[in-house]
Order: sequence, then structure tokens, then C-alpha cells
Amino acid sequence: MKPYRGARRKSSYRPAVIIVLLALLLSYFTINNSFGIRYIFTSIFYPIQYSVQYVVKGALSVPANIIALHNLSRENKDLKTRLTTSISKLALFEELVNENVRLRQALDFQGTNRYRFKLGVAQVIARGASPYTSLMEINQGVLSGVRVDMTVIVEAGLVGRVVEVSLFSSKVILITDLKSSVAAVDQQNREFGVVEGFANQHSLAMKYVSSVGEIAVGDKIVTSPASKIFPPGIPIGTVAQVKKRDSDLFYDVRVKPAVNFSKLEEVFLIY
Amino acid sequence: MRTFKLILFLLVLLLIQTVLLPFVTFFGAMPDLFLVAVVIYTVQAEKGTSTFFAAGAGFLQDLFSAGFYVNTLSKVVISLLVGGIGDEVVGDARSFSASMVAIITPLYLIVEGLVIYFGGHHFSVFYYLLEILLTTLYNLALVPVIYFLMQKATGE
Repeated sequence: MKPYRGARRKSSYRPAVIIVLLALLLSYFTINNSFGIRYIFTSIFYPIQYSVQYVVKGALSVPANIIALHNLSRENKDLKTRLTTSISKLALFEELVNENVRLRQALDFQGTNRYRFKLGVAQVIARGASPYTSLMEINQGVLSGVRVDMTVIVEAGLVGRVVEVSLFSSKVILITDLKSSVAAVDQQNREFGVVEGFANQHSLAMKYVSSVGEIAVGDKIVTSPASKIFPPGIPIGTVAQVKKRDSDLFYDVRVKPAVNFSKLEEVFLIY
Repeated sequence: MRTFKLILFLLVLLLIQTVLLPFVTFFGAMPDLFLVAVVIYTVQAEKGTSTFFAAGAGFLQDLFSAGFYVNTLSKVVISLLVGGIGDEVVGDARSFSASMVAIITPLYLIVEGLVIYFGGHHFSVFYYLLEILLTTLYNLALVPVIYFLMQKATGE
């Protein structure tokens, strides 16, 4: 064991002050992204990050792939049966879509195109360097047309939004981050609120839901039409707990996220 | 040569932090390798060098973060703090590093939590305390590993 002796010569405060000032200067450069510093570093480091995550994911997926191979044959048979059933269902569905469009036109309903998102697929290549933020990095950047504030979703629901874009990659802040806020609405009762991170990736807080309204456990929470960033109607989660005291102006609501954030590999960007 | 080794060491830490650790979270908590490295290097090296190392580590961490760009400043402050306390302490370097990580990790997270709280973002105190505990334990568990790697990397 190496002994540690606090016998270092006590120096003046001047060097410490100089280094702190230097640190402040570096922070200033980072915050303002001076000379595109974050952009340059992220772009240079991207190939290394991408290669390493590719190797790691490949190595981690080997045991799973071996197990999956055994089930492939049975799954293939099952899928063929389901495909046949789906084709007939699809024909019916197309008929229903046509009918829906006709009815909407008849009602002069505006914005029929609202939910037809143009999606782009992206792969999660890394998480944020600071473990204290719920941040992830995806392999689509400026070259793929990604812009700040683009919405990121998966099949299950809302993941987050793009906060920073570089040449080949982008940073996405998850809705579980403590600093994330999403305008939301109860799909059943149309009660509005704001969904925020809750220091826990399995739970979100829905705030500012008026106590005179009605909200119940099991209600589905989706993005609100009032949001300027997120398109409306994207699932956020399900109400898991509702509390209110007589004197409270708002409900205390906990929402179970629709997305499993620990297993995100591919996500979709809404263009 | 040593500077080059240190830069390479920081880049390897960055890769582990951003790419590998998301696969090995401890009940959702992730360690802060840079914090552990800064504490250990401050204990091992001269005060001046270690503060520059801390600034470099924090700066790199800030470049690959978003939202809160306080890592450069906080890592420098941590380095100065550990260096300052170290001047008054005599003992085993590894135990001192572990003690400092055990004290500074929760302290850092509490300060960060307070900043977020007074920034208008309210959250579950219970879950946050749990995260503090888990992150501290995770950081502590990594002290011997980083200590060993750092000795190999710097030859100190």
C-alpha cells in the first residue's frame, strides 16, 4: 500500500484562483459552444464511440442470439399463420381508413394529416458523459436533417427531444430527466398538466392538474395539443397514483412511463 | 509522454462512461468515473498537475453532456478540496481516496439536487436519496479499479 503523506508544501491561493478562473473560462466556452467546440469534439469522437458500442452490443448479444436461434423455426411458423390472418385484417382496415377519411371530409374536420408523422430511425450509441442527466446520444445528426427540439419516440411512446445536434450524432434529453417538462393531457378526461422527471426512470410526476377536474389511476396520458415542441397524442404513460388533500389546488399524480428507458436501442425521430 | 498518457486515460474513461456503463447500471444508478479519477489523481499527484487534470476531465465531461455545464468548475473545486484536506492528513493513499469519494459523491449530488430544486424542478426526495446512496456505493466500488488503472497509466 502506498502511504499518503500530507507533507506537500502549502502554497498561496493565487494558483488555485487562476485555475478556477481558467475553469470558468472553459465552462464559458462549453456553454456558448464557442468555435463550435462541442460540435467539433463530438464529431471527432463519434467514430470511436460508434465502433466501441457496435462491438459491445455485438458481444452482449451473442448468448441471446444462440438462444433465439432455437425459437426461430417455431416463431417463423407462427408468424406465417399470423401474416395470413393479418392480410385479411389489413384489407378490412384499409376499408375502414377510407371510410374514416370520407367521414372526416364530410364533417369538414381539419388537420386530418396531424398524426401521419414522417419518421426517421436512429440508433442509440451512448449515454451522456455525466451520469446525473438522463441523456442519450443517437447516430443521426445534421447530415440526416436532425434539428434541435425534434421529438424522439419509440413504438410504445414518447422518449424525449433533441437538445443538441452535431455532424453525425445528436443528444436527446429523456422525459425522465429532472429538467424535462412536457405539456400533457389525460386522454380520457382531457385534464391538462405538465409531466416532469421524478429522479426515477420508472416514474414521472404530472403537475398542475386542477383539483376540480377528474383523473384516475389507469388513465392514459398523452402529449398535449398545447405543446409547442411535441406533436399531440403521443403516449407518455399511464396514471399510477393520484393523491389530493382537501386544501390542494392540484392533484399529485404519478405516471408510469409507456417506454422502458433502460432498453432503448433504436428510436424514431419525427421530421 | 505522461501528459499524452493522461489524455488517453481520460478518453478511455469517456468511452467507458458513455458506452459501456449504460449496460451495467446498478439499480438504474451510474457511477461518475471522472469524479473518482479526479479524487484519486489528486491524492497521487502534485497539486498543480492534479488541478489541471481535474479541469481537463471536467471539460471533457462537459463536452459530452448537455444542459448543466458545471463539470469543469466542479471537478476543479473537488480537486482543490481534496488537495487541501490531503495537506492535513497522513495515511494510506487508497483509503484516503475511498474516504474522499465516499464524502464528495453524496455532497456533489446534494448540491446538484439543491440547484435543480431551487431552479424550480421539484422531484421525489426519496428516489433522489436512493440514487445518491447507489451512486456513492458504485463510485466506491470502482475506487480500487481506477486506482490500479491510474497507477498503471501514470506510473505514479
